Amino acid sequence: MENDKTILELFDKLQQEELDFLPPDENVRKGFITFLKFMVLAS
Amino acid sequence: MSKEQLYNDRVDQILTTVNHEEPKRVPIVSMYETWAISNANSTVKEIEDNPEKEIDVYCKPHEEIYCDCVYTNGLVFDAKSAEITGSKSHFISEDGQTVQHLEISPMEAKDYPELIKNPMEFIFNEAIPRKCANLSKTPDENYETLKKLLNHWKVKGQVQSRLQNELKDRHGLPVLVGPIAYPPMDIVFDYLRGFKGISLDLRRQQEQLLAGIAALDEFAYDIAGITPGIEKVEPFPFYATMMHVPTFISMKQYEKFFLPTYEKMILKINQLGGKVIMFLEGNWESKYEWLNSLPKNMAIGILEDDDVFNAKKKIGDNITIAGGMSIGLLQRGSKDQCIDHAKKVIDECAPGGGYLFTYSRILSSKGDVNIENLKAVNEFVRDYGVYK
Repeated sequence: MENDKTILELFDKLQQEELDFLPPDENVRKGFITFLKFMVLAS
Repeated sequence: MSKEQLYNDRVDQILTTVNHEEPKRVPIVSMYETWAISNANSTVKEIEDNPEKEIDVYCKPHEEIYCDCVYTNGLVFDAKSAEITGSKSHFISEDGQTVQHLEISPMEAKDYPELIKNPMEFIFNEAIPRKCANLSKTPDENYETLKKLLNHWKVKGQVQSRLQNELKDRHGLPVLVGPIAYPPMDIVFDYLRGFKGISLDLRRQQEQLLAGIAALDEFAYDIAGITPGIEKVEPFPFYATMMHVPTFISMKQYEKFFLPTYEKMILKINQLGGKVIMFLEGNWESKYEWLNSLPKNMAIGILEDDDVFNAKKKIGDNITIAGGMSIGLLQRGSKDQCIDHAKKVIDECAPGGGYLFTYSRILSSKGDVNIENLKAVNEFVRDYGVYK
């Protein structure tokens, strides 16, 4: 992995590579990543 | 009546009362947070190790105690997420049965220009690594942390979805809370500046604070799922706001700092057809004029320290009141005292609709309530709170 990837860029990578369990709908996937961002912020 | 019919009937009754019409009966709301864990003789750790356990733990009180709807679904804020990210802000209590919160404020006063310029970059690339040890490592290690969190919520999300179905299919119970309408000022208060920081900002750098709150507007809409182009949202379940900073600030500060972004968001939700359930932490009497200025029937306010009888008179024609049952009485009073109080609450708050029966605190710990009193009161309200 590129050594300079920021947390925000890692969220993008997560959205592209790790969401196969979700329907292909882009809004659903974006919504899940937003939820994860919120959980990181709230954790 | 089948469980599905019962569920649909309960949703109808809730919406009827929220629209200030009289339903068949006063709906009774359960608010079991971590109390459900001690009630099931379980622990937070047991749920973490065996996620399916959450379903049994949160169904159990609904098998024992009558109610018509559930405030939130299962254990919303767990300690596992903080453990995964390496944050110390949430942790399991000594008795193992509640989740405690430690305020950590990763943003400094001098950081406002960065927050204002690019809130997402500042929060996730600057502030979060200061708070979350496991997100301040190499990109590979940080990515592993995010994957662990994703896998945790993948499983927990499935369990919570099953729990919601169990509540519906086995008990006919709807869950009131749907998407979260998080006030941008509370994002600053809860996760960035904390109590001390925001208190100083309210005096020393008001313009920066205002701009910082405004910069979080878009993120708040994303959290609520209000995306550009959305044309309609459902009136049920409700959008939920747990009000945090408002109880600590004056009406003048509330109007200047809290409302511009929050009010715009909830009016948008209302315009799209949605309704908002607000957990009104502390006492809200100084903000009744604002609650009365909202479009009629758009909001439900769960009262904590407000006098329910006064609230019914002052704001009960405009918003739905939820609350009224003293948690102190449920904890320490006799069964007869509890029922007498519940009767008075129903007599004064139920007429005309716009009322949901519940208690004045979310139940967290084992000693929060005498379960026999709670059973007796809910059964009494079920039978007595009938509209004729």
